[in-house]
Amino acid sequence: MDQALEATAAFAIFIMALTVAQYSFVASCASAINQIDESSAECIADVVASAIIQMNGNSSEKWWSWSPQTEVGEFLEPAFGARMTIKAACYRIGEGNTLETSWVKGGGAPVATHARCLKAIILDDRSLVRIEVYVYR
Amino acid sequence: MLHKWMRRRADLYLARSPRRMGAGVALIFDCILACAILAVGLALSTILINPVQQPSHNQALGEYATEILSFLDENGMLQDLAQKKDLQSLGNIIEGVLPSGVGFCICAYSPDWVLVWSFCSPGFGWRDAFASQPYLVSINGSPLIISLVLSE
Repeated sequence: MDQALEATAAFAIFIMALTVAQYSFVASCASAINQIDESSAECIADVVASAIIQMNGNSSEKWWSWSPQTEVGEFLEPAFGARMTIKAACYRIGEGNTLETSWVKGGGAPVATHARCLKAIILDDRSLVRIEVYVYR
Repeated sequence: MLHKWMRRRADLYLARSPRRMGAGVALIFDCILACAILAVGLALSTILINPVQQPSHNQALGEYATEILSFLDENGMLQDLAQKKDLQSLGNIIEGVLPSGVGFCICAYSPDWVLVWSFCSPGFGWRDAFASQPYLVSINGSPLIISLVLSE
């Protein structure tokens, strides 16, 4: 009877340890996959932000007439089903050393963000454009 | 050779009679050993499957901070406000160009890297903070190194 009890206890301990080990392994795998996914989303955001900056340069006129494209496929192929949101704003120093917003542009539906890229460029009229690209995969 | 070894193991097993040492206790020891093997396997697999850490996206914050300092300098405000020590106005402008959820701390150092003054936003934390390139400005003929640190 004692032996049966001890054997049952041993089996229960082993099953518990196995369950914990399997759960931890699955969680670890999920975390690793998520990390890979996140870093690729960050790369996509970086490519898109860099492409937009390259496209418009430091010309204030180009930035003024620019309208955000929100299809990832227009910047890189294959897009791996990524969706994105772009937010851009232009700031300048106005009278009395105060910060003024020249314009704000945005595109794309708000998505649960996976990755973000933040970049800035100083334009020929000494204003600053801030561009944020949010990517979800 | 193998046969002898197996025979010796069998004798040893039989010697562990339930009266001397419960077979159940032996099972528990085996179980603990199995758990230890599982733990080692789990630790190894965790180390192996986790990819090498990518550089944090917050590194972009450092570049962004440098752009902000250049923007202020282009407009002559960095030198002007640093000379007047109007840190509140400087803070307001920096806060205006930052996206939501980003805190900042602007620090000024002498050429031998002694902190002269600093101004931090309420939400700033040094954890995961990234600094701009050191930015050199001239205040009353003496150089001052300005650094802007951003954190999320």
